[in-house]
Amino acid sequence: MSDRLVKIYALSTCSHCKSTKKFLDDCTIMYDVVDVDLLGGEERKAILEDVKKFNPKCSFPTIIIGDKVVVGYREKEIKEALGL
Amino acid sequence: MKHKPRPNRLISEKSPYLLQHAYNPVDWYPWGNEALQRSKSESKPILLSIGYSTCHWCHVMEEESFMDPAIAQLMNDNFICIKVDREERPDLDKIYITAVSALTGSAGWPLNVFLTPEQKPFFGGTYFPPAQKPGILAWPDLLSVISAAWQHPDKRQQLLSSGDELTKNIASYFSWSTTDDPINFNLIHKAFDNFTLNYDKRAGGFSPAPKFPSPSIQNFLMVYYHFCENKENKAQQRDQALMMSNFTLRAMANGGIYDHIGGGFHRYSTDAKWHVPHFEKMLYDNAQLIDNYVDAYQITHDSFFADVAMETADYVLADMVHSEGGFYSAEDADSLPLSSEAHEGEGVVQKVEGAFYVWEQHEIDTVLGSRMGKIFAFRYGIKPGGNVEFDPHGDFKGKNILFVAHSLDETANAFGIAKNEVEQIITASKLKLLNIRNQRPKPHLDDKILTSWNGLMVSALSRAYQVFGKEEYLQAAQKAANFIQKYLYDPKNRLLYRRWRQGERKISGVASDYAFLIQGLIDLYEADFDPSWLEWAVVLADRQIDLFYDATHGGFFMTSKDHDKHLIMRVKEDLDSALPSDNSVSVLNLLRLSRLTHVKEYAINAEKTLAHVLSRINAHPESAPQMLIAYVYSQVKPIDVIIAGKKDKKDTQSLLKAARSKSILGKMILLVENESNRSQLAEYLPFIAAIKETDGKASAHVCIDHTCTMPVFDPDALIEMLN
Repeated sequence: MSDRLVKIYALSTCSHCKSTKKFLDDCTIMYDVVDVDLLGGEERKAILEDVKKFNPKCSFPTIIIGDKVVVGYREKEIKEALGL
Repeated sequence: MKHKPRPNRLISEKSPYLLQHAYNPVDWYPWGNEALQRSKSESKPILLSIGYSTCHWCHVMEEESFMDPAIAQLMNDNFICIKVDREERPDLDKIYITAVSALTGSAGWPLNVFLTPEQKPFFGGTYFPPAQKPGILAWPDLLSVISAAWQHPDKRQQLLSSGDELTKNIASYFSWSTTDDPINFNLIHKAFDNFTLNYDKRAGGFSPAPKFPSPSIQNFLMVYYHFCENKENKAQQRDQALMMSNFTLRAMANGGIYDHIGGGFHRYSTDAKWHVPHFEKMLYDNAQLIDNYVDAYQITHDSFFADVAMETADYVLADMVHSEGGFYSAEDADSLPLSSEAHEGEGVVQKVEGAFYVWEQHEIDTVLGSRMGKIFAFRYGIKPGGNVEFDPHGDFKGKNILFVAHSLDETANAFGIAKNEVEQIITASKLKLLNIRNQRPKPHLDDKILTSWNGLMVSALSRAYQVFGKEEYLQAAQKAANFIQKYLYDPKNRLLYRRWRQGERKISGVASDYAFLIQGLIDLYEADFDPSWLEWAVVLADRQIDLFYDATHGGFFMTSKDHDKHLIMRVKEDLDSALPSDNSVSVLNLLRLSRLTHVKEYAINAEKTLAHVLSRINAHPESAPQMLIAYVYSQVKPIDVIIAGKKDKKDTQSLLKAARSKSILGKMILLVENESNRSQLAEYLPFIAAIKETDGKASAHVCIDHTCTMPVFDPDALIEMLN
């Protein structure tokens, strides 16, 4: 178990976001997730600004693990960031 | 008038090649129990003779030897004679051609192999003349020597031992031992370097004469071009790859190997300049070459390549298609000359190689008139005495094989007219000559319909449709796929058959039938976005793994577990030649399907097969260019473009056009159109369920290298993203 806070910025329509969530579920990691495309106008705008701070390309999934940022479904990097 | 002799057993077969031998005095058997049992019960060796219906030297040997009553007697008295069509039974062909290669250092067709009653090969060769020629044994002499040895107890024992030993050797050649070696990525560059070394700078192509079209090599070079596209230190290699590929494609399309009047390519060129071909036209060459020219057009946007691709596709659609949509296999090289020119031997008019395709200058002048005739002759190198320099068999005396001798500009300058006027004259002339040519006796058509070759044509037409947008190409691809489903597929047992002709389907599918058809179905899905093609591809892929996959050493066997109990071994192909190997195509299929379905087994099997083949070809990576393409595909960033919108609506079409505008290695396009196809696709790709039209507008969802972006609606934004 990792004690680092995990947050995923995702799209509901994105395959790699789905795979990332499943991977974290399989590793029994707790996480917060925001499906950005499902948000309304103003809220979406604000969240997209947040995402850009971590990942200027604003692509998904953007995964925040403690003070590390992983962009994309990359098992190895996610595991490293989690300290697994 | 002679009476036709009584037919032999081949008369009950459907293969055009076997039927060509049905009236031989040779007591031919088809491959099967009856012949093999008789060989055992009479302790007679087997003469296995393999060829195909458009094979020139097969015809020659048939006329010279197999039609000769005395030679037939010698064969019948001493051997159990079996004829096999290699296009129906590529498995038998592969085993026994490898044996002959191992024995003599080379092999080809007709392939004549002598087997023990246990079907083990002990001697063989290709064409033998009826009487001795310098360096070649006469066929009757060879038959006598072998039958004498077989009658002699000690010598028979030697033949049996040779059969055992040769069988052991080829079995070991085909066995893939396990490998743990990591794949060496440099193989890709080494293959490129070797193609550069083999490249003919003057005439294009990658070998000395005879020159084959080598579609897999051009394919690899164009993939290599893409692979080096964004690598600054590889700019020179990138340009060189494209130049070698495109120069070769141009040289072929300007040469006599191309049919300038009717479209389509002949099988190969006997000379280095692509001028004098063997005239047979094979479906598989034309399918793969359409693909090559489509790719070249996509990279260069040069209409030259588009024209050749479309002329070739149009030729296939005009001459090679069954009324219900399946594609025929081949057209012969030889045909009857016009009756006025026939050489009559014993009252029988002889067929002549290329007779359908070649012209004498006076014919051109008669059809086109003096002025047009002169312009046409200048452009296509036509000479009064004929233009064939290399004519060892005297077939082309006084004849002209058309080739592009002068460019349109040169022709315009020579006659002092505008280029577009030359173009109009050439187009009109071709049409006139085509009409006249269609009155000539046509070459024999091999009208059997093979699943694997049809798969290649479905791919070619699907890709041509994606690039040129011609509806008739899409419809023909769909019709062919439906034909295979109706006549060559058993849905209950999920099994493919290999061959259909005149209402009969026969022969269990081999790995290439599954592999090439699956590839065709994936390409067809990317053309019309009907998920049922993908569903069928997945069913077939699962079945292919189940029946053909070697879980121990990776790779697909050519035959399924219970294909034919008489086979002395199950072999695996790993080299790409005139046809790509079933393993090369299967690996790329599995990589593509794993992205379309997220089934991990596909990727695992693909990786394992890749690792084995690449370790086998380590010293000669250029021998499997198609497998190297699959390897590159496995290494590049995957790009998925999922478009949500109604197919027929303008905004969807604009996004689709943008997504297809540039060929990008590793790009995959999906279309989510409505509820029913959304739920069909979502069975494999659950995230698809969430992809919907936004406010009634078509949208594109792009994922590159494991990350996705917010949907875009503007075609230009999509193009920018893909760039």
